[in-house]
Amino acid sequence: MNEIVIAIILLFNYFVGAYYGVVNLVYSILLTIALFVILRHIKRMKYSPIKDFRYSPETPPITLIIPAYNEKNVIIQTVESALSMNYPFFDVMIINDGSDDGTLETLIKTFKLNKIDALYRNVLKTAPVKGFYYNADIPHLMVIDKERRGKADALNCGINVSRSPYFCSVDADSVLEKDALIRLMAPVMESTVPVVACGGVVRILNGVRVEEGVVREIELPRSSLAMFQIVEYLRAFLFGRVGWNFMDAILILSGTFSLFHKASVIAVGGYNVKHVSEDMEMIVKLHRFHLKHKKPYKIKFISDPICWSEVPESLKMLGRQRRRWHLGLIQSIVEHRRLILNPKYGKLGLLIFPYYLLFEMLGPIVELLGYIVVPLSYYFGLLNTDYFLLFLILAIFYGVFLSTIGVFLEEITYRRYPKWSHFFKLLTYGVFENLGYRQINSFWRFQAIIKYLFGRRQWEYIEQKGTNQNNKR
Amino acid sequence: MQLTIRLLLIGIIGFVCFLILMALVSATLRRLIHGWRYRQLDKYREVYKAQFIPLLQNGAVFSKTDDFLASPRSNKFRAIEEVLLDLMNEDRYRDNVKTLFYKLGYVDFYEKKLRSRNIIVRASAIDKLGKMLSSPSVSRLIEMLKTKNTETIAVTVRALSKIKSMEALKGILDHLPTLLHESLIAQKAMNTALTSFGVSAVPQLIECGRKHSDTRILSSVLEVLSNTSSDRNACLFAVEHIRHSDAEIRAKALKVLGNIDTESTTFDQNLMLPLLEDPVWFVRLQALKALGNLHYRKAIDFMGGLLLDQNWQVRDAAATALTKFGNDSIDIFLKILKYRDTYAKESICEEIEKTKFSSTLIENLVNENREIQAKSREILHVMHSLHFSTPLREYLKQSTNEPIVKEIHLLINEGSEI
Repeated sequence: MNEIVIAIILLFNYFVGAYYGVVNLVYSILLTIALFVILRHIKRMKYSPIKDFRYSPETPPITLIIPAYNEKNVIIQTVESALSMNYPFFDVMIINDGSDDGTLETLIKTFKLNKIDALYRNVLKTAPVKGFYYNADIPHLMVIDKERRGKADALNCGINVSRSPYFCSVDADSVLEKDALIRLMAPVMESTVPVVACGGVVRILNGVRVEEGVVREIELPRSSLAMFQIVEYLRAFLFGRVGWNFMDAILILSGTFSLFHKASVIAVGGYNVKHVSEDMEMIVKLHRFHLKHKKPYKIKFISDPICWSEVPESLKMLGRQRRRWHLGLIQSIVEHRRLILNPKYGKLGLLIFPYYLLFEMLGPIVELLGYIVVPLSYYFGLLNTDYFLLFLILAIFYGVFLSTIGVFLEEITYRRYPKWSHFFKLLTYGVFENLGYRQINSFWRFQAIIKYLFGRRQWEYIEQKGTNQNNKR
Repeated sequence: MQLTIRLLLIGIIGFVCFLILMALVSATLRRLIHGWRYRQLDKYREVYKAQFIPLLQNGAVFSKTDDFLASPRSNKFRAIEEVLLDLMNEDRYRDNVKTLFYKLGYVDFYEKKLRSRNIIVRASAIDKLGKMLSSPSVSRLIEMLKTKNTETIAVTVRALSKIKSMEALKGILDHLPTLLHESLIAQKAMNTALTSFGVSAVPQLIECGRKHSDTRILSSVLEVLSNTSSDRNACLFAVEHIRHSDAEIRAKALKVLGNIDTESTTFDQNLMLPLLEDPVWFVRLQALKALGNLHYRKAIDFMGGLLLDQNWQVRDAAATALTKFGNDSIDIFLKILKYRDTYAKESICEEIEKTKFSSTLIENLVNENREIQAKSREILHVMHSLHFSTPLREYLKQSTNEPIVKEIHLLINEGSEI
């Protein structure tokens, strides 16, 4: 019996070694690509056509769809930011998804909205709409009040009401930079292949000073948890997504700030209300639909349009968010399992889906098993302390390296954190992120797997404190 | 073996540490160098702006060009370029600044860069020449359109559209078939560039459209005409294409016609009527918009039929277009509102409310013409019964016109009895 256990442990150890090697190889490849791509992109921005597109009648109209559920503390700042966009033709649509904290009343009072009679075309079936609110003095703002059925349903409602060929999903706790929308539209205007979705960068709003919906001063938050998330987001957006985008293999665009071609979204049946991570599911569906019907398309990520969004500052809320993200990932991978290693779906089936299955979805299981196998190895005398320590040091140092490169990329490109203190603080958190924060994230992701297996797949609500609610309006 | 693995691991750890250190050092150095560089640039910009403005105003700038000569890699060179590009936005300085760019060697410097193999360097140079409105560089820029690189082409087309000379336009139009046919530039980007040439480009655009039968070229030309021109030539060109076999071309031709200034240009608007029955929905939609814009009253009955179109966008466009005819469209609205199709009726009510035609109907409640008064009342009554009462309630809140207020009260009370 002992021999079998020992054999299993040894086999697992070799597996972990290989697994770890492949994961880090992928990260290293992404990082190398990102370094070249992002530096070239920065140089290209000097001759970007943004200014021309801003005044062009050719720039397509766009609707900003902002679903809101109990966002009373943050919604006004978000709407003000959305209304101040530098974009020729756009409208802003707030979908009040059955809030019971006075979100609707706050909007009505602040923007002096009146209830209007409008016809609701239920193209993508949604929960009933209760009313439309409008102020003729702010003609490109509309608030739609509907019964609660979740973010995906609210987005579908916005799509039904929107009259523009493109829409941009924006979270209710976000502040967009003035040029964010036109920058996001640039790939659509410039590409000779239809761009059906395009995502920008999400940055962390906590600590940032906002006035009248515009970011005035960037400061770092006091909360350590928010600081860890800044480093994490820099890494994810500035090298993860840039790298995947270069390979035309984007599978996730943040629902916080992404643009979509409306007809394509309607063609795939809109957002799936059964999924807790509707943004990833939408991208998978768009890929699948276009590949299946052999339609030319592109899904792009670009690193210069920026949306500032609030992140949770308590472990409880952050845990909810991370469990939901991982649950969404599992749901999408399981639902579209036919794509895995299916050559008909090209890169999506042969590269992206297997990667997400093996390294993103199952990663927490391998990590947790590792925590179990290490003491077992020690117990059976299989643990070589020297090797173990060397591997541990390498894992931590490589983690620190990835975080440092995230901060480095930010430093050599957009440099939104201008002070020296910002730079050193971010680097410090990049080091400490690997000692606890990463592990707790893996635990939440593991919890999501357990929840999925036991059928508890509902959306976990994250309360937004409105860390910037005291900002001037 | 074990020792080798151990050494290998230590080596990798060492290498990772080295990379971390490199990233830290280079980021720190970069920050320091950039800090110094931008401080110097800010200082130069301030100094040269203060020097250029009076010199440009008193016309003495060309006698002092030697003072502003700088090595292309220096901060002075860059600062002067930025200051001059900034001053170029002002009409009064533009011509002199253009000449200055030439005399100070900027045009020459960037023209040389056009030969670079590096796409980014080349594209940056093209962009700069465009921003400097360097007309003498047009022929060199046109050469760039022969490259098969999409990025270079997109920047070149934009640069030529900034220079706006006829030579630049001709260069783009000569290459238009290849660029669009081989998908070397996105149509929207091309249309944006052509639109910026303005009305002066219309004759050449039409000539180009007549020369080529490619639908992509026709589509671009018509789209640009719809944004720039409302004259007779554009009108004739559009009329030639409203029976084109491609639906997109028919729709775009209608878009051009919808913008025609009918006071100065006349054409047979009846030609558009058959397109209200086009099998393609967006052609019907465009025909409605065009006829609505032109206020072609003979089309009212034809347009009324589209209030029951199978496509909701067409139905909405029909209602919107009809509201532009004011009281002349009351009969047709009333006719359709008597149909049983609730969905169509609601669409009409929504558009009447959205286009503020409801205000006309409310004012009509005291119209001297009894027939108009009765019909307006009837439409408002149907709207109220379908819960489109906001205009009535808003009027009650805001107005003190007693006779109308009284009529609305009567109407609302009748509605509640239904």
